[in-house]
Amino acid sequence: MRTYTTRYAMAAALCCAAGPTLAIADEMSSYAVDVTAKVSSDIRTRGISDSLNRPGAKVTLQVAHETGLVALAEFTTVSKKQFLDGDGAGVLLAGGYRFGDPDAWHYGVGLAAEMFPGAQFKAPNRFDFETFTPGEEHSTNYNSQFAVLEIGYGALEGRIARVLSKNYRGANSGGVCGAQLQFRDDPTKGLDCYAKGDRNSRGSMLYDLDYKYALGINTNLKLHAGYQQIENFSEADFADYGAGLVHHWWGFDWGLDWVTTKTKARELYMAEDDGHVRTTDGSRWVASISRTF
Amino acid sequence: MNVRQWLFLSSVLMCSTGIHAAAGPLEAKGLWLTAEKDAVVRLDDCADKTGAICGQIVWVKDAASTSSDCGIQILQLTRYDQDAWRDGWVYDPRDQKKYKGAVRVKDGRLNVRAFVGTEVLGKTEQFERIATLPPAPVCKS
Repeated sequence: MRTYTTRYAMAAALCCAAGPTLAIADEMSSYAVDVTAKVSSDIRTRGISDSLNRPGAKVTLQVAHETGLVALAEFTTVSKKQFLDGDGAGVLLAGGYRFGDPDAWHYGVGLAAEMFPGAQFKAPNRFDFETFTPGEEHSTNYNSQFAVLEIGYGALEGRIARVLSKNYRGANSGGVCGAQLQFRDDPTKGLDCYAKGDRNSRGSMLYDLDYKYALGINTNLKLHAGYQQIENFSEADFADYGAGLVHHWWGFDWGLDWVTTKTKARELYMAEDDGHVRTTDGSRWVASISRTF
Repeated sequence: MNVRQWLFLSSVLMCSTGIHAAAGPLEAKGLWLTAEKDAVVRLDDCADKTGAICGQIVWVKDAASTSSDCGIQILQLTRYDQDAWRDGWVYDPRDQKKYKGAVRVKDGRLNVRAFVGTEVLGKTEQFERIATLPPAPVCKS
């Protein structure tokens, strides 16, 4: 879940809307809809590039109802070289309930599903150490489902997500052990990984902490820290950090973020790109422009 | 950063947030310039509702194209409680809808929050205080 907001944009509406209507509606709105379009120099999720370090776009639809129920749909461009055989799109659907005081303690609970239509990879989930050959290949998609808990105090937002699906973004023996065999010169780690048997990553935990501080009436400082704990694959655990500025100007939000990751096994965040192996973790500046309609 | 460090960072940040100077109900009155500096809203006692505060557009930058915004009442709130004006509405001319609202002065800025249901389902816009209206054009009173 993300921040769910009303479609209120008084400042913009007062000045920029052509042909405003003087008549004021009598009924109070029971729901609010926000649509946000964003382009950025990189699409990063938890500090990892989903767009192979290239520019991408994102459209987010958020709906909030006066009962506290909220829903979100997000559509993102992703790299087909990372999300193999896919359509080059990522979809996040979420729904939940939010309550509390935005200036003090506030909470949210919900469910979320992340999908990459068509995307899947094939890898052996086992390794036969007697014949020293990989086992039969299985297909795994990158889709995940989560239970989400949000706890915030003022501008500080904490989020904990538990993976309910069998795998988190394809993290199973085939994905994790296979990647270590593929991208590491030393096969020992990959073989050690396979030696632990056929495992999945259900029960993984994702932690996020975000803080926003107003530097001026149009400028905000954003700070982020995150940690992901992958069940059965501690080598895939990593932390990510970010700091950025967002400036509202000409009706757009202009952002510049510094994002960085601290991964244990970089080979888990590599992808082949026309004969080159590229890392998708590490530190990077990300510029973005977004507008909420 | 492990889980323990993450929880420690959370608690430290939570203890350091939300400290603001309290403002009285009269603080909200006056002239307020939008963040984009292209309109001014005057907050004052409502003429037709005792004890309530109303907000009206009194200046726009581009009078030629948006002059009809002049005079629009964009908020009315009837109760002051816990450092905020509450129980009323704010109006978004763009979608011509009213939302629940809360208005408070924080750090010298006017924070207008519009929401559905509860405040957490809302968004805050900030305004800067100004002493006098910018030069013409000025909305007709």
